[in-house]
Amino acid sequence: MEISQYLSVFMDECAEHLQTLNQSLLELENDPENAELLNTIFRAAHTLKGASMTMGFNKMAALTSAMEDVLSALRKKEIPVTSEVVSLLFECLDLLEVLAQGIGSGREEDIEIAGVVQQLKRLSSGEEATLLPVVGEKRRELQLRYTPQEREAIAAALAEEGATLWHVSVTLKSDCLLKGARAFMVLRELGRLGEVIKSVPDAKELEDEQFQDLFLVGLVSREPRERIAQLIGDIIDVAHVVVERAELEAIPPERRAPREPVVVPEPGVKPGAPPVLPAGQTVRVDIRKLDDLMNLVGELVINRARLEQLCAPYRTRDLEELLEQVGRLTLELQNRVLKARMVPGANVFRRFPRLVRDLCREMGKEAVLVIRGAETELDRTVIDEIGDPLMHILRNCLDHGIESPAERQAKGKPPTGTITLEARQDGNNVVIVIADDGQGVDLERVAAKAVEMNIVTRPRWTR
Amino acid sequence: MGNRVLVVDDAAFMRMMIKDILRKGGYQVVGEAEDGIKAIEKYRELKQDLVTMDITMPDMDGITAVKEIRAIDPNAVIIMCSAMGQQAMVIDAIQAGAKDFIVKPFQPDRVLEAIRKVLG
Repeated sequence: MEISQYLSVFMDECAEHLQTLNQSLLELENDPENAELLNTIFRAAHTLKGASMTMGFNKMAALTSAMEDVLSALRKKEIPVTSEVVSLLFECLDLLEVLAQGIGSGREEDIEIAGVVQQLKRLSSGEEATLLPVVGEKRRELQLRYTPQEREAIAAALAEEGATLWHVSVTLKSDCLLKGARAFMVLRELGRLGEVIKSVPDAKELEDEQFQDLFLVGLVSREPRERIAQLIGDIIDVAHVVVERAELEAIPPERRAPREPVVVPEPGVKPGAPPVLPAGQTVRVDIRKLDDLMNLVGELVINRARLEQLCAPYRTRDLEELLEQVGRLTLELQNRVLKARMVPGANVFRRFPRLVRDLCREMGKEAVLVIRGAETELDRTVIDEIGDPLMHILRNCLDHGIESPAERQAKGKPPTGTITLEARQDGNNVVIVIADDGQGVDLERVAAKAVEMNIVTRPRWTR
Repeated sequence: MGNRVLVVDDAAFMRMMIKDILRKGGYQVVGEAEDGIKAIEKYRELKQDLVTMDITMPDMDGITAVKEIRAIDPNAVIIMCSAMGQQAMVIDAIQAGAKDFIVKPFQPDRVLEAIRKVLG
């Protein structure tokens, strides 16, 4: 779909919502108990979220989404409206304005929002750090087992002429959105076909999206298998349905050790891939945990060296082999931990094009920044620390290296200067090279300045 | 099978987008409304086969509007337009009588698939 035709409408509404947000937030600060104001703010943020998502403005969507969570918590009175919260929301509005401008000039991606989003998340979760839930817990094997009460209910329902106990296993598409609501629709549809005895996970867990893509339902119905499979399979985002007849007597009661999985896809019902639970390929880990791990490995390395020293007088073949083995393992462990901490340099380089652009405008110069090797991985700590020094070097390039467009043209150079930022792996090191095609450092001028500032005396530098 | 649609959403931009999707899919957008109250007025006034209904709107939200419209016309066919994270509200809306839901950001083929199914 061509998105640009909507851009002007989007921008207009965006400005409108920002105005509403600013005004309502000002009022809210003086009247923190006013629920209607909070609703207005929430709606504006929510609409902005929907619109920016649709337009593919990911940063604005992420920011408004985080804002929405906080506002939702405020509405539910889970967190109080304090002046800190209001300040943070004002900060968000400023950032949204910057983002809107960025969108207007096609530079949305260069704007940093991570800090504010993180603060919002911390606020709405009420926790220090939010980690992804452990996937393993959800990957338990699903089985339908019935309690004595449920068995009675089944027996009663089966008394009806032509009724059968069906075990229905439903797999949703992995890209299904709002899985909880979709599962609810499936249960509702099954409820129309007969009596839903139970589901695994249960209805509440399903609604809360506490499941992967697969869930099981025990249904007593007079409908034939084909009809159940067809009606459920027809619901949007249902990838796969298996309906099979179950005999109550054959099912071990609840809480007995399971012998075999209850749901075995029967050939001929509906061909399709067996339900496979997707496992997450990545886990988000608090950086402090990696730091701790790193420190522990450091300790281990030191102790290993000490052990080796102490053992030196008693060397036997066995001891030597063991020490060597421990040494190898320690080294490997250290390497792996270091690897786990690596982050692509792009994470820090990303903001530089914007910086160069802004500096150019400020200084009346023209330059482009060429970034190479942004995929080169650097240790997380280095990423955090290296941003500022690199920024100073880039600033220097523009300040002292790149000449004004007129000067450059007089020298026969293109008016627009080029600054190259290149990162590459070199054995155990990462080399970062910053180069510019400017005039270079004028030694005479540096020396004159140094003399002037009494840092060196003239004879010493002319030596 | 009818093809007349009433589009309800408080954002003009969203209405524009969904109207485009619908038109390209061969449907006729017979009206639009920006909140629940106007949606009910339009519903009485127009002859539509389907309503697409946003959830969060000023004055009257989409869920209340679904209830009111279903009270007027128990056969009303309504599809909810939801954002991510509105699970509970979508479930409320379906309990209130909405036939299905689509999730923003809209993917044209998914929107059309949902409409085809509820009208079919």
